[in-house]
Amino acid sequence: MLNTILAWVTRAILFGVVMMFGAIGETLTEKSGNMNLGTPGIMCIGGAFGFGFTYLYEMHTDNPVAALSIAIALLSAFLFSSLAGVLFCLLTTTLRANQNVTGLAMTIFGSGLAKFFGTFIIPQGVVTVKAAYANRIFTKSIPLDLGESTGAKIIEEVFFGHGFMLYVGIVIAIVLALFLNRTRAGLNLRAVGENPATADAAGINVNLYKYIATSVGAGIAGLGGAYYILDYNYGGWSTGAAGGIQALGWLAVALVIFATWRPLNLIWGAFLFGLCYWMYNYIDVFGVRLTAAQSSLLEAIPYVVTILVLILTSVRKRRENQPPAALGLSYFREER
Amino acid sequence: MRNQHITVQTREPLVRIIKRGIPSRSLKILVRVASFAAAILICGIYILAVGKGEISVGSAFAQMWEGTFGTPGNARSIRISLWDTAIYSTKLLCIAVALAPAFRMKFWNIGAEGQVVIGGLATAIIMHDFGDSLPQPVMLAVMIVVCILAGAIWGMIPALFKANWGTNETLFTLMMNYVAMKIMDYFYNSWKGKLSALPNFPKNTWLPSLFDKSYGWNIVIFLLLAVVMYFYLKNTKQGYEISVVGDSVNTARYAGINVKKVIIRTMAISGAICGLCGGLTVAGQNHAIAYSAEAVHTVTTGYGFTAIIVAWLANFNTLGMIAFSVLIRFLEKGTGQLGNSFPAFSVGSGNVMIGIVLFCIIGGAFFERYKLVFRKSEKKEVSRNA
Repeated sequence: MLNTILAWVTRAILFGVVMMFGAIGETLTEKSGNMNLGTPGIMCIGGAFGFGFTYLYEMHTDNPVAALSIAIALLSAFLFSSLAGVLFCLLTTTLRANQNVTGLAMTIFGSGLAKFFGTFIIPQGVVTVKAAYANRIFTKSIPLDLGESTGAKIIEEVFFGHGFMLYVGIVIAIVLALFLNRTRAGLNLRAVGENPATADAAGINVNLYKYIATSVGAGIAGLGGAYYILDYNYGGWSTGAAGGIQALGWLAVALVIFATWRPLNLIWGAFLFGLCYWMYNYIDVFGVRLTAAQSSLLEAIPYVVTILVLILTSVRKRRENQPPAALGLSYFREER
Repeated sequence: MRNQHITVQTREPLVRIIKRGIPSRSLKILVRVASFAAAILICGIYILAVGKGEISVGSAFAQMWEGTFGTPGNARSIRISLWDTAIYSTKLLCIAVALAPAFRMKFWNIGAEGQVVIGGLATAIIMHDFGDSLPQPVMLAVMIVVCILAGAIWGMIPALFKANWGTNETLFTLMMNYVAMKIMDYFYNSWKGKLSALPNFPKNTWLPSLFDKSYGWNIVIFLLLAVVMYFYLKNTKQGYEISVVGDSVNTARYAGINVKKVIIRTMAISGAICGLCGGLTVAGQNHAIAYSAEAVHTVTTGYGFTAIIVAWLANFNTLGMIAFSVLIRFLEKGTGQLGNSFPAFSVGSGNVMIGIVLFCIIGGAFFERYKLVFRKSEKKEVSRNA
């Protein structure tokens, strides 16, 4: 019983990290007033390029170095996904295209580019399509021995039994919360997302803030994709994996709403989504036997909960729970 | 202050952006042509880079043409390819047509995918549960009615909340997609049971053939809907109300339009057409339903999202959408063909090229609405300030 619950929780955490990165990036982006529905595609890009370059690295060196393997994976994932963010911002902020349309086009483009690139770099006839070395580094947990007691075992597995990306994600979420609420630049960014005209009048460079927030946000989301391949998916690339990232990308967009645009809520929200998602696999612990059909229905829970949160926040109209007021709108100074 | 002589020369920015009035027809055509040229150029570079110079751009496009419209001179190949292109592009067209009224009202219905799925599912339930027990005409009538109703209800739920509480419809409709897919999965898995695949529904529930194709009626109905919707939006009172609400909710209220009613009614129509598309696809084309994670053979094949872009590109003109639907199908099917001879193109390249074309057209639209004014040359500026 305990073992199953532990397995469920660790599975949820492992799974939640992907959504957490995507949702942190999307929150930062949406705080600038840009609703980037291209996040699922951008996460695919991060996955493909993060995997691709570290795979090439370990294919071409005899003794790969851990730090370099991590750096190559994360930097290339961040770089290429933030480039996609820049493209999104170029179209929506500079060229004032509709954000929904541009975002969906980005998801189509991003998933296509990821599937193409991930397949393209693997030489024909090669046996393994796994970045095995990077996978070992990414999944390496903190070696810790607290003894044999049950409590120690729980602490070991739940808090320390994961690769380093979990902790990176939590740190980024906390840093983002501090940045948004405690710094001048964070205040400016929120002003841009709430009312760009007022921010502009106050001397804030609206476009610059939008560009930086969107590209950094896209970069962070891309890290989630790289994590998916190199840790969650055992370092293996397949076009199916790109589909998996895309599905999680939409859940990440949902998670932002669920967390009512607060970075700290993302942390536990991601794990809660993970628990919901994997409930069907572990629920027999409680003596419930599920058919395959019923477990499909359970998978809808995160989406239904998100809808409920969306409805509740709009009905109650508490000001601190609302989406950024200018979310989804293009800003043009001369248009009042 | 005003009379003070200003000595500081403020430099104008290099480029300024000015809003245009209503763009002329020739300008629109020019922008579109230029966007397409840019798209073809970038796609060409992509083809050269991926093909490592082993395939010329011209022959790549020729192959894509063959894949979509058939091998020139081979009547059979042309016939097969054209029918395939016709059904998929009209299906895409139908969903885009469904979105047109909602988008014109500035209601961002991202939920077409779910509305199509739920319509298809409603029809599938009738086909599965009552397949042999009803006479065919009654059966078909019921199948059509339920898919329309299911789609309309699925579309009206977010509209109700939007109209009454201003709930963000983009996010709401987006989430409804996945709820619909999971419900579909529920029925798929429970019908399939321990079988390896779900068998087709009984034959007497299939749509009657037209042009010797089981999906013949689909093509006709989808095209017809585009024409009807064109006139609905352009020539009816309801269509006019939709544009007024889309332009300004306050103006609409002032003019005595019941905005809530218009929002809910329009979304019911939008959802109903999506639902019909799903129902017809299940009854006329697929004859079964598939697991949502499967890329092929699903009710929508992802067109619920692609249609959003088609509707936008055609500027909500439902007749213009025909051309864009065919274009998307050309890129999709054509790169598939290209992948047969050059494996490097077989995975993902279709979406990459669709993305390139979309970005070029979306970005190009900027030049219809705005114009760039460059800083006048330094010489002039000096003489003006002197």
